Amino acid sequence: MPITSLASLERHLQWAIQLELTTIPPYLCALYSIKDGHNLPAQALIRGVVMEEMLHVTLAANLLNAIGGTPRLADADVVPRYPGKLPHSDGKLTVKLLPFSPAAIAAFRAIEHPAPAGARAQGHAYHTIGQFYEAIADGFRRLVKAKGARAVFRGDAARQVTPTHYYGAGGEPIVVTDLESALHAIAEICEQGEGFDGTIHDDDTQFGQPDELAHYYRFTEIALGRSYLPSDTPRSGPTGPEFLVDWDAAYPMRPDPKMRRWKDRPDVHALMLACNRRYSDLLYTLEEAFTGRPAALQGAVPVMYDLKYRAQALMAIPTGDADGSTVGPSFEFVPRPGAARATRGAAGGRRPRRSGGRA
Amino acid sequence: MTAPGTTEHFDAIVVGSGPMGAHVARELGAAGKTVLVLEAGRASGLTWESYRSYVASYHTAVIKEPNSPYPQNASAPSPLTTDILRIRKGTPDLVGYQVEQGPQAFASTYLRALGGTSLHWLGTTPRFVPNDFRMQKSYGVAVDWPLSYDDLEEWYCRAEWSMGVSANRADQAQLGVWFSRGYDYPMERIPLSYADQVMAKATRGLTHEILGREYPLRVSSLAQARNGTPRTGRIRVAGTVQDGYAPRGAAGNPLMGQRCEGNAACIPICPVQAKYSSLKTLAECDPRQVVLRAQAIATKLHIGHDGRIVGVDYQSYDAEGWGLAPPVTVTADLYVLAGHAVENAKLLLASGAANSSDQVGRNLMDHPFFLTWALANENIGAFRGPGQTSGIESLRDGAFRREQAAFRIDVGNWGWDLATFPPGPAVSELLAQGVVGKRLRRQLGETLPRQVRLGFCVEQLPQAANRVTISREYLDSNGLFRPVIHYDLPDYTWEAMVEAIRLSDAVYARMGIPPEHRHWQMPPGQGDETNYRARDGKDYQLRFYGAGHHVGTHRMGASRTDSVVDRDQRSWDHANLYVVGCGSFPTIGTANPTLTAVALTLRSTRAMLRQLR
Amino acid sequence: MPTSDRAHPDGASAQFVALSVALTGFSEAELHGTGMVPTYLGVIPSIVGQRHQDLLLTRWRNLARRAAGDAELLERLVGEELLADPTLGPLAVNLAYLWYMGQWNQLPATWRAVHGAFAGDTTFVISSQAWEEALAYVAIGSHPPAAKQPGFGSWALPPADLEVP
Repeated sequence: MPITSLASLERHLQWAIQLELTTIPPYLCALYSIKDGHNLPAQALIRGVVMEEMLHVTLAANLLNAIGGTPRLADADVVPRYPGKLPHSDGKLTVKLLPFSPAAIAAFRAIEHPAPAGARAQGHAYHTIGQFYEAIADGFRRLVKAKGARAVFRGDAARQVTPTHYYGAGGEPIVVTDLESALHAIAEICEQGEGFDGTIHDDDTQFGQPDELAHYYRFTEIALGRSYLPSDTPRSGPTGPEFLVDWDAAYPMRPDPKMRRWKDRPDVHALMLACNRRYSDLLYTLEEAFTGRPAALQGAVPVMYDLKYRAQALMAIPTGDADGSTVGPSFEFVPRPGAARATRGAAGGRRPRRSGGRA
Repeated sequence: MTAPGTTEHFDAIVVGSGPMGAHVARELGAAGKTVLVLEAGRASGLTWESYRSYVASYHTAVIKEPNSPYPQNASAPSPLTTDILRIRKGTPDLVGYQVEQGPQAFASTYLRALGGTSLHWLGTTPRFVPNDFRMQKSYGVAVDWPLSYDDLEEWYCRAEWSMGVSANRADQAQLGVWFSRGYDYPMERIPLSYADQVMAKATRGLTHEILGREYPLRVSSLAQARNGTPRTGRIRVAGTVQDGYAPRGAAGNPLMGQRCEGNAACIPICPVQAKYSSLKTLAECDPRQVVLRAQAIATKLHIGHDGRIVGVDYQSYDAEGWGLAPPVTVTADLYVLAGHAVENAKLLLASGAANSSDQVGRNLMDHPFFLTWALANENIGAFRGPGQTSGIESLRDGAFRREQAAFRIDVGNWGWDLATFPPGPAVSELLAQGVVGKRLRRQLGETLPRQVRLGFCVEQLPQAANRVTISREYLDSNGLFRPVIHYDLPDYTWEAMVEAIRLSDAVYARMGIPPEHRHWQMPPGQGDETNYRARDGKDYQLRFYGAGHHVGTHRMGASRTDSVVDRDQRSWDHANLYVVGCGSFPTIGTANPTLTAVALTLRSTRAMLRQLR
Repeated sequence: MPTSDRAHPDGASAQFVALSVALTGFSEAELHGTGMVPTYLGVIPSIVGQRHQDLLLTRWRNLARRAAGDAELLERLVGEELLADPTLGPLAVNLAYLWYMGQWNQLPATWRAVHGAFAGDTTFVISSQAWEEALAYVAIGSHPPAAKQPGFGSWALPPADLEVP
């Protein structure tokens, strides 16, 4: 069903934020499970993908803010749970927290899989992420045609995250003010993920970034153990030099860790809780930045670094099980005491009913 | 490039690949000149992998002294602080590279490597204050430079943009330091540490009296060549207009090092290259014009009948410690010595060059780095961030300079740092007392984060007897000259250290720190100790570190009779020889010298290019 | 929760970790989180021989039995008795320093005079990773220089409270 109202477009853009957020903890688990000093090319590759996903979250927030919506991130209803599905997808893909492994990389390829040629835009129950964004792009075009640009892009410009606020690899955030910039932002998300125009590249040169492989193809390099040459295509596959991977040089994190399973080990539980608090700090900081204080993004930097060290420490702690698995970070939301939305579905609770009527 | 058997010829030959050499090479290369850069150090550091191996060396060094990431090079040794600290007054320790004749140990070191000492420097880049250039005129001491702050201001702007300095002009405009209209630094000041903020609060409204006058003590941010938040918008830089600034990352990996990440290891290495080193400038040299030849030690300048330099010998090594190849002579229209104050002097003396004034090697100066430290009453978050992010500038100039030295004060971020080398010794001491487990962890946590340290870069006056010499008696394993250092400090400087004790006492008292938690006497075993009877009649046992700010050994001047180079850093004696860098300074002031040296050297490239036309 | 109450596949490793907990004041999880347990387990054996580590762990078991679950008493026994032992004390001190600074210190001359001067017994940093995991810096709310950097602007923030669990 196409997007024909602003309320629907806002809902979809909020889901887009959740969608991008959903991919980040799985990628981080793969990244942080790699043992210190090993698999450097794979580390750099996954890190690069994560940075671009962070950019996607930011672009989705800019899109939502541009039409007057309010991004929500630090909310138990919104924070992804694992194992889980991509928000509002067709449910065929299960997203799990896994250590660096062939299974994890296969799952990442499935997440980033390009839409087949001619696939329809699909705002709900989509098969690929590309179809989901096509529905959003479609929605923008329809609404601008029906209501005019001013009625659609009614958000406060001061809420846009600009390149001043956001630095580092991944690209520059696009300030969304009109249809052209909105479609630009959506194109950036899709092309970095799936590739531009049926190629393996993301055509980022127009965004001032070196032309890089789309995420799907980067993960393919790891999966197949070979690099792409610039002249390779989706059909040819990677024909370049060997991409060295040592699958053994990763901590065997237990899939989908859960804090509540460590109640009888206060020392482990304390570390998991501290890590989850850091993760929650990140979500609170991003939410603050996306709801009128873009300069607050600077504060996200120390939080992200600290989160990494805590997650890596958890990766090294043995569970004590015979399979030799390790504890790993659980990426569960821990609401701050006194926060307004703390009451709904705290970490470990029952999955709450999806709220319907919110804008 | 040249047929075998013939001598290579370039437009210019530059000895040294540190900030001076790299800037000369870049500028001359950009103007279409062919340049050969000779670097004594090993051919390593320009790739990300080789740089990361320096970081690994640092991680596993037991004594993390300034040259520890850069493994000692048997073919081109560098001095180490650990060798210098072993020296007792009057008894030179001959184990290290530097021969110290005393009476004071010359406590500073430098590094012979691609990138030079800019690999291990802290990165602090304040400008000189105007009076630093005219000490004789203003205060009747020392000598005047043959140029002024005003002459140099536009070059400071260029140097700050070339190296990438983070600062706010409002904080820097003190004691006569002025900025051209529309100028600002390429990046905003590095955020002040929490400790800085505590110190700023503690010193608010505090003044210090020296020789009858009151001086305010104001904590302000330190200008530093370290990547921070770039400024946006249009900024005027020495006649051009820049549209914002893009921080330059690591030489071998531009996406790394775009911002300081708080590695807190600036000395001796920035693991991500957020700190400027000349590797970045070397990476900007036009490879079609500039040849970089490392593992090539310049040993002698050849002087022609007309006094022009007609060639320079260098000796190469493939693998360290396996001996040097016989000398190879290369020629150029122009020769530039950029090997740092000590090595420049050594090469000139070995060649019998540029010394009609008898000033080569003389007037060696450094900033004695004098420390006071204390235990604050609260956790100030020590051991975080760059080594220093703020300082107190207000005593860098004043009428007292007629009688005693000025100093620049650094507010330290790394606890007691060089005073007691925490946390290792603190851990050992507690273990020796049988303190283990949670008590050990708690005690460390309750004390070390409260450690405050003030560092004083104290000026000294030029003295002819403070000098670098060479002697056939002191050769390295390849038979090349080692630097022989004669060094002492005047009362002018000792008195200022006593002043530093007084000032620190007042500051620490203001912070509510009781006397038993305020210190200035370094533990025994930390090098020389001098008994100084101060103006107040009391005796003080004073020790200091070297700041690593070697200057003066080929000073510039208005006359060939008492200086080695002119205001363009050109030798009076050899029309096609430039001797550039901190060695050209007639006085040292209180600023870290690298920025001023780069400014002077960029200015000199104008003269060089005029000459090469 | 005392480790001896929980089944563990490798007894010596669990005892080593328990001794390390008592020496360092860091929890079992925190020590495992450094990733250095397997490496540090092998340091004393590789430098002065397995026998010395066995002696150390035997003494440790005795102290743990005497303390009978009282963590404070155990810490006192370790600090006062174990560290005072002429043979085991320097080894225990070295083990604590290993965790705190990633470095092995050459044993005192008095120890070497009695037990011998072992070739591997020189002062050295175990590895780059050992430095990165030096716990002294965690104890003081920081990080080892040139490792675990906390990110741009972090030094401007007030220091976090140091919680000793």
